[in-house]
Amino acid sequence: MPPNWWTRQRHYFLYTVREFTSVPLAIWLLWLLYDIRETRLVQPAAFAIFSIVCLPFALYHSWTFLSLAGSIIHFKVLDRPVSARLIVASQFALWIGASVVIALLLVGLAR
Amino acid sequence: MPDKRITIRATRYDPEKDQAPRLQSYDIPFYDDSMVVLDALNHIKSHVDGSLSYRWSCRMGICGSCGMMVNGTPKLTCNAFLRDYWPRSITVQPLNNFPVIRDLVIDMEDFMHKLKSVKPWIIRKQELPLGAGEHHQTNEQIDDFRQFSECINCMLCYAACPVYGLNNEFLGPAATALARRYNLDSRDQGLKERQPIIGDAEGIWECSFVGECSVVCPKGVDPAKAIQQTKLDTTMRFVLPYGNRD
Repeated sequence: MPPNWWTRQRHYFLYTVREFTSVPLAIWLLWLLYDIRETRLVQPAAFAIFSIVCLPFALYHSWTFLSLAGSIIHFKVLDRPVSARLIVASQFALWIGASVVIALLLVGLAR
Repeated sequence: MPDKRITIRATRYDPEKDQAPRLQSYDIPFYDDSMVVLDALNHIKSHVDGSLSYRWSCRMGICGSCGMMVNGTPKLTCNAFLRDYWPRSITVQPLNNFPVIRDLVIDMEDFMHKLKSVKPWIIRKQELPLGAGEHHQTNEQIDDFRQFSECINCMLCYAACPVYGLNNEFLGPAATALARRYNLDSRDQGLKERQPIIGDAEGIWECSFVGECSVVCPKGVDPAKAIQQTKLDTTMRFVLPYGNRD
């Protein structure tokens, strides 16, 4: 395999981008853990900017991951397999629901 | 004399003469819209250059013999229509990620070894005598594995898989899909025999879900799905003791 294999096909490129998005997310998480250990935001402005930078990466990673859920999860209800489309839709619904709950929680705690 | 012509650039490689594979161009008549790349190769072999070597058999997408790289994408050449490429030229190369024996012929030994290792046949703890009758299956039980049983061992998925390209110890898409086909079969009792192979570090866990194997599969087998589902099942079997199945 040549080193530039991931540039040869659009699909390979998108896969590499998907995997790469984990890197800024991991850094963001480590930063957050550090701040939690310090019980304060050590560099609030820098963390806010980095969070905004990481947001599209997080959205892209979540979107691609949840879109693939239909291929991974398989189960039956009343002896009939649940369709992949329904599984994906339920994952997105859970994601949106969880995001709303966390947002409300954060807003509530900030008051 | 037909007016339309198309250029086929095919890999030529004779290990006894050539240092490395090279491309050779053939300008051939494109006389019929139903012509496929395999027809073009057959025309070259019959009328232009009889020394061109490649595998083919059924010409109808069943045998899985004629898989090659067509303009960089793994395809069954019997299912790649010239009309989809004309007037551009078509480059035909041997399948990626396999050693080349000659011209467009690859060495499939590695795949055959992997395929055999997952025991793609029905395993019974104890065979029933013929007099006991047939094993009954419902339509729903057949639907559980039908998709994975469509695999024709064409190896396009291996040619598309960068994980296999980077590490040919990886069990790979088709072998895993066929292992899953038998593991899901209600007649089969061979899960524990296959599990050490598919659950190995070079088995399902090596796959990082690029998904290109499913994109190029000519039969809609979706080997990426087979691998991810096997990962989930293996994990559930590990964390849930009652998930174990004989």
